[in-house]
Amino acid sequence: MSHADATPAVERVEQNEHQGAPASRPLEIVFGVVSLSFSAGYLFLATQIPLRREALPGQIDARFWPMVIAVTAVVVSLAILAIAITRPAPDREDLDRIQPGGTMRVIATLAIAGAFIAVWSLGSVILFGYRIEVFPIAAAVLMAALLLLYGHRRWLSLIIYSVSVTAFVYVVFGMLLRIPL
Amino acid sequence: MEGLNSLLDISILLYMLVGLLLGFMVGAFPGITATMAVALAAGFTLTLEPVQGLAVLLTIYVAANFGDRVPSILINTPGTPASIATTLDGYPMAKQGRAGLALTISAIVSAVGILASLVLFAVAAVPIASFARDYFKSPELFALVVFGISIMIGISSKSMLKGILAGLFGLMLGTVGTYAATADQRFTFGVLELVEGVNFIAVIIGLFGIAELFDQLLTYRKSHVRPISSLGRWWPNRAELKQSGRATAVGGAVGLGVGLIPAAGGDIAGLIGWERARKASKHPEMFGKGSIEGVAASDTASSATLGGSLTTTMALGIPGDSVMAVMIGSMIIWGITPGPTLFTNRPDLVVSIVGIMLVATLLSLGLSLVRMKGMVRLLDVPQPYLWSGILIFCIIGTYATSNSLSTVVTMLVFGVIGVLLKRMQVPAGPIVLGLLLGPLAEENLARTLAILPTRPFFEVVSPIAIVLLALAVLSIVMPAIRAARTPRAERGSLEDSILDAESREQIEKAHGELAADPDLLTSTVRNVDTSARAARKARKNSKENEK
Repeated sequence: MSHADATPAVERVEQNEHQGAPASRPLEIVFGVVSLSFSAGYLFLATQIPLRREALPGQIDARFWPMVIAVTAVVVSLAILAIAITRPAPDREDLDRIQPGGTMRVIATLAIAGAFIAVWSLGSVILFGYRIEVFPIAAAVLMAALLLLYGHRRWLSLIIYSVSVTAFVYVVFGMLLRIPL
Repeated sequence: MEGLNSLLDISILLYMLVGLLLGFMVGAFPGITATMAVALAAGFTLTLEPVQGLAVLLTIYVAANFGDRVPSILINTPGTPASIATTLDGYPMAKQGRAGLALTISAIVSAVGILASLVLFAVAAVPIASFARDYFKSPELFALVVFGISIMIGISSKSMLKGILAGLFGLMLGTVGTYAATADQRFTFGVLELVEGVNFIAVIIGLFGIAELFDQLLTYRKSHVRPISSLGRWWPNRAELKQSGRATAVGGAVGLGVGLIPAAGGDIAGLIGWERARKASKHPEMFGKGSIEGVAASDTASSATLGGSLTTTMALGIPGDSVMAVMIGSMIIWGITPGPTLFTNRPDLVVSIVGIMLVATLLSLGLSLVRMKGMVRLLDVPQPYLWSGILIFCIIGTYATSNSLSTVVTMLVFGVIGVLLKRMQVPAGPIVLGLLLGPLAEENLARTLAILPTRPFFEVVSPIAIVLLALAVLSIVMPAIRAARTPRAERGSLEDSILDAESREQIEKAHGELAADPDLLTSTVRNVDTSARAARKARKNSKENEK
């Protein structure tokens, strides 16, 4: 192999290979700011903890331990922020790179799960004079929606899988473990 | 006797079979860790008796430790982090058509490792617990908690500051709820669900289940990975058994030691065991090129950590690894608090635990040797089935702990927090440990501070407490110093931080040679991982030189 085609080979290998997430200074700074504001918020709330009575001498009150944690967290967050601003961003090669469509998959999953929980919270509905339990229907629809979202396109296996998982959950948890689904 | 009797129930065996199948499957699916499986099962086992619940969780723990070797060997992807080191020699063996042999050896030495570590647990657990009960008062217990959290930070974090932040975040979560000493309410914001504290199971299923799932959704790429299907001969011959004997002994010793360090698990032990065995071997040059000794050493080492982890968990209440952190959470819900007093109050539990682990190991070994051909097919399960299944079981499992949808919402929230933290390389282990041990730390700190003014300092704070605190500081400072001294370009994955330069070079060279040999079986495009990384590093360096 000549030297000229050695580089494309490396490139090709890299495309097929594990791709690390890119290092990013802005991201590190944002993380520093978020952790600092979270710690500061926690510190503020810790000073506001309502005490029903004064602590006895030598006893620590309900504020002491949260304050210790909060002050340490503020110091650590400041250090993280300072490092993020002054030093080059750390290598993130251990993490896989986010793939196109990945973020959408997560958001859609959350939305579907949220809708499922909202519908499930209804418990049961009265329809045409019958009391219908929502859970089995909602769970089967949840499974089918997720399978579709993740790219499953064969209808028969989609229905079989959704129905059988739902039936399994319903029998094991609803009937055997007697969890009020 | 009582401990053995409680195992004779037929239901225990049934629960163990469930655990066995679950454990094997989660072990074999890359991307589902044993921690995730145990966290999920914790939701379902809450309604069981403690021994029944332990039968399920411990069997998952053991069986996952067998199942995770299968994808390591066949597709070069560890099923759980504990089998990282198995890929070093197991996959090259598979490429040479010796996958069956690698799987068999791996199963046998894993069983040897676990059984050896069980002896350690049976012998050491009660004396350690009695020692701790007699000598550990409030200052020592506080120091022990700090030590446990620090070790977890030191081991699991790439950036120590982020690790410390994770630990603090966990401690913050631990302060939510009612302060036991004065019954003051903290951070409850008038919400009834928060008065008893943040739901532990919801947090762990969120951080270890949902967050992992979301990370896979974010980063999944279709790759044409096909497991190697030509497995070759199964049974090792006498020479091969003899050859792996020394490596097994070295690996076992490493694993037993590493297991006793809180928070250090099978992944670290496997890599160290592999390296030690290479140094002790008569054929060190074969390591990384499909050495049977390499597989034997790494698998014995990572399996032998199980007993050590169990010992620190049960005897001291400090989890030996992240699976054990989850286990402590479930045990507390059953009304058993692991710690120095556990075994003095319930000595029968030691016997039950050893019994469960022993039977689980033997069952897993049997299953590994018989059903391996079927296991290979498991690796072909399409991702959509896996992902939707994980999600619904996370939801139902969390719901089952409290019969309340607010817990499910908490779990999803922690899933989102978890994946964001994961993307920022903030480890989840210290968070869980902080949440779990925070109240214990606070209580003992309060007691220490209360007696401190009444007596001389060194009478209250014993040398044990001081040593533990010093070790806690060291466990964070030492890795930080080592990282600071390593040139930036060379800092990399867990593998790179544990193995020395010589071993890394040998692995890269061996993988390069394997990739260049056209006669070998191929399965996957991920086979020259380290050499690609080396190429990338080389390019990075040359760019820096140009500047």
